[in-house]
Amino acid sequence: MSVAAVARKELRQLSRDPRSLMVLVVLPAVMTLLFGTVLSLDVRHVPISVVDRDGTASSRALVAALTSGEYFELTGHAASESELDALLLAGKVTVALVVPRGFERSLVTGGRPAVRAVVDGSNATSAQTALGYLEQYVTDFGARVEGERPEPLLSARLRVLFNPELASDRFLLPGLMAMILMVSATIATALSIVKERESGTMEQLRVSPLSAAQVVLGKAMPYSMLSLLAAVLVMATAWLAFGLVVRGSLLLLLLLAGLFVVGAQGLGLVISSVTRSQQVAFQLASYSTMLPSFIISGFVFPLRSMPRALQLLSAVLPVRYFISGLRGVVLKGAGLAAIWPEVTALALFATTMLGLAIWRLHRSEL
Amino acid sequence: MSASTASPASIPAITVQRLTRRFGDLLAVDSVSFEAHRGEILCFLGPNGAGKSTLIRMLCGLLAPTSGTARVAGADVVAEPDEVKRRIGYMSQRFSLYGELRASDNLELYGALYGLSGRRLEERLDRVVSLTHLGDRLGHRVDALAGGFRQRLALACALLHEPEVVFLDEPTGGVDPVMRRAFFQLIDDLAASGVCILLTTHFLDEAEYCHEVVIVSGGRLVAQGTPTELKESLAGQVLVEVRSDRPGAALAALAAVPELIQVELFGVGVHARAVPGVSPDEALALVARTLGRAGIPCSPPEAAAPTLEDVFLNLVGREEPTR
Repeated sequence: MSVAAVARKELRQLSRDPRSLMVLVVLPAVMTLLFGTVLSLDVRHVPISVVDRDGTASSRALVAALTSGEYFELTGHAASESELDALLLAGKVTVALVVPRGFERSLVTGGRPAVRAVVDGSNATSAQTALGYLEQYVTDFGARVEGERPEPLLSARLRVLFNPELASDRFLLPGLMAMILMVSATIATALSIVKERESGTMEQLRVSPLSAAQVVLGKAMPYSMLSLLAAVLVMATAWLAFGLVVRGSLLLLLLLAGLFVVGAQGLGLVISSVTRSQQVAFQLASYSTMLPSFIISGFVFPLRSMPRALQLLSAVLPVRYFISGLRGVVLKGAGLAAIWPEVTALALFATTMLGLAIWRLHRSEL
Repeated sequence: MSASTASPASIPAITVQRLTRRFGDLLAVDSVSFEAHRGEILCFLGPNGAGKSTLIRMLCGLLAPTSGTARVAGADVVAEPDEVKRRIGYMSQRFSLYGELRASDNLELYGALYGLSGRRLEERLDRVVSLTHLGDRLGHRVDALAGGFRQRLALACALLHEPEVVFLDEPTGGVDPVMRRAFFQLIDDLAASGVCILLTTHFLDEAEYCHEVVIVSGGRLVAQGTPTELKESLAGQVLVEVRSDRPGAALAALAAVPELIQVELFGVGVHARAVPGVSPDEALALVARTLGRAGIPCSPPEAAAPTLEDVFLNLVGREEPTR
């Protein structure tokens, strides 16, 4: 079977070229490890300084409760509020906390005392997160003291689904995986075709009785398998290094990844059909995959908060559907019933791209 | 004739009628017609850009003609390009092979592309490997092979499926002269087994190995015949050859004589053709007298037999053929 012959040839070429093989299969996992470590939106070890005017067991217990976790790190006690201001100004601390005199007494007598916190808002995201943590800790502390009372006057009970710690790496890893797969699959395929054209072997294939579709399938199959292998390695890395457990079906995950990779390769083939040199193919493939999959896919920035035009643009980006499908399966344990729109969109992407690729290859006169 | 059987020897292996190809305003191939038969080596000789490669690509079904018809190995290149592809072998001027693979991997790939397998594949592999003397190089990476071996491997790949017609597009580029001679011996054996071979070249000495030579220039076919016939087309013309230690000075002196045209350097000597009406004796005397007067030492001028180069220059002019 001639498709198998082309596929076998492609695998043989790759096996003689360990560098390309590493780039295609191992690099995505390494990138996941690197980016996964660096790309975190979580706030940890926020420097905090305290002026404790009360100086009682309760006020010390509050400070201890705040700083015993990994979110806040006590840099020291300040003598006055003006010292706190100086620390904030110098950027030495992000949060300054003032426990007022009479804190313990007020607490015991049910006077609902208030502590005052000043947060450095120059980094809005981390300030907001720190504020959230702070609020949570103080409320918790209050609740514990109030525990003996029959009923707290007011309390909100919040429960976060799917990602209880709201850890941003959970949220980012699926997107990272999508981006890495998209980039590597598209670039590898585009380069393999352009290289074949540069060396003249593409012409030799076209003189043989092989049809354009057979050439495309023969080249896409081994790359799909390798990219899927890369996807499995990426998931394993995410699990081992970041504790990301896939809640849903692995099979469904592979289906999503398979459709996505085939589509990405189709895109690579189309790119190779409009470029003549490996450099141009590389640039076109990187720009057309890297930027959109990073910026307007919902990978980092929520789609809902984007201008309408960008939302419409992202609706035609397959990587968006892959990311939302992945998040569904990995984080929520969603089944086919929940993510069929994503699966349909990816299937459409794969068939469109392969069709376009075959049509381009059939037409191009080289 | 049924499309699946091999064409009988009486039917031409290639029939081309008024084949034309335009690229925008450029007329790359201009109404070319010719025939080639089984067992024949046909050579397209012409300068770069004469349209040789375009012609071959049309005959291989890679490029659609703008107009005209062509049948190759009994199949129409426009209506049945797939059938044409099954019956022809093609070797490009770049010996397109997979460099990172072994020679044997390349052969296996081409075998599989043409649907060969099992015993038949083994038989064909044995045959082409012994024909091209590649036996001891099969395990080598193609990148590591010298030009001559790569050329023979490319030919072996093109011959695996027993094509009736083989196209060789400038098959000897980058190959040393000894290897080139060996290659033409191989081509000759191939033709003797009944294959029709069409090759392009801009080497005049290679054209001498071919049965039939077609001279192309500017997309048009300007002459066709056996090398002998083509040379005989210059019969009646007077060619003088003279050897000199100072060929450059001799060339300059002779080029100034109005009775002599097409004065060309030829190795250590000079070839000159006399205008019609000048007899051989007059021409010889004229050359001797001119060089003597200019004080250029030389051998006695002799009447020369026309070469393909003379034919080519006569027809195409001074468009740099490579000797």
